[in-house]
Amino acid sequence: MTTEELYTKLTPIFRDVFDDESLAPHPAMTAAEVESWDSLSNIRLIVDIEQRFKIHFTTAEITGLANVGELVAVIERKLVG
Amino acid sequence: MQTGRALGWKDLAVGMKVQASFSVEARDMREFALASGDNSRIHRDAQFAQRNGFADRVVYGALQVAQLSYVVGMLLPGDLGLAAAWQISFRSPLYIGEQAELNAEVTHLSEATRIVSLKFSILVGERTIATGSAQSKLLDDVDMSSDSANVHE
Repeated sequence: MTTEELYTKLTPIFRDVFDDESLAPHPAMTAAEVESWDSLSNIRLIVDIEQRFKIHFTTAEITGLANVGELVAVIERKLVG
Repeated sequence: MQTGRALGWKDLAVGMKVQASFSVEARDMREFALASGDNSRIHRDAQFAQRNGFADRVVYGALQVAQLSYVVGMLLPGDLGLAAAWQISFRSPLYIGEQAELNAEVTHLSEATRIVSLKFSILVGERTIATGSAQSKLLDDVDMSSDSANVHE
């Protein structure tokens, strides 16, 4: 799966979790840019990604992520491994 | 009042199942109408329900959700859970006095977020009444009294 395909698959997850049909995740996107991105929606985002891609994150992997690009990099590592 | 079983993270596994039997009685309907303020005809008027193709007045969907609350709060994950998301689809009506079973199964465990995901169904015999999913966050079993004791040791 290319990075571009990954963003395409992430888009409906982001739109559903944050209830915003115009949302288009991009590498530089941060939680501060998305009004409804709080701790609870962040949990839902992580769980929905785990279920969609059949992967499991560790706490260390999702702690301190600076932006969506870093999250995508973690997902890519999981999918390759 | 009884408290739920306190399952820890290591006690949980994908595929774990629980089952709870219940029936909704006329008194439950009356009490829910009072508590919620929902006194709509499909729930109070049997003749109205029958004229619209139902066998009898229909049990409030929220009283089925109440059983989901029992299952996640008392059984799986139980006492340490915090409800994070519930989704339910009503498939066919439940009637007063019918013996129903709620079956729930763990479908996903997210260790990073400590979220337990379940799918569930409510059945009366072979008839599916409702299906859905639920997510609970498993909280820590923090014992404040022992923490305080340690501070003073």
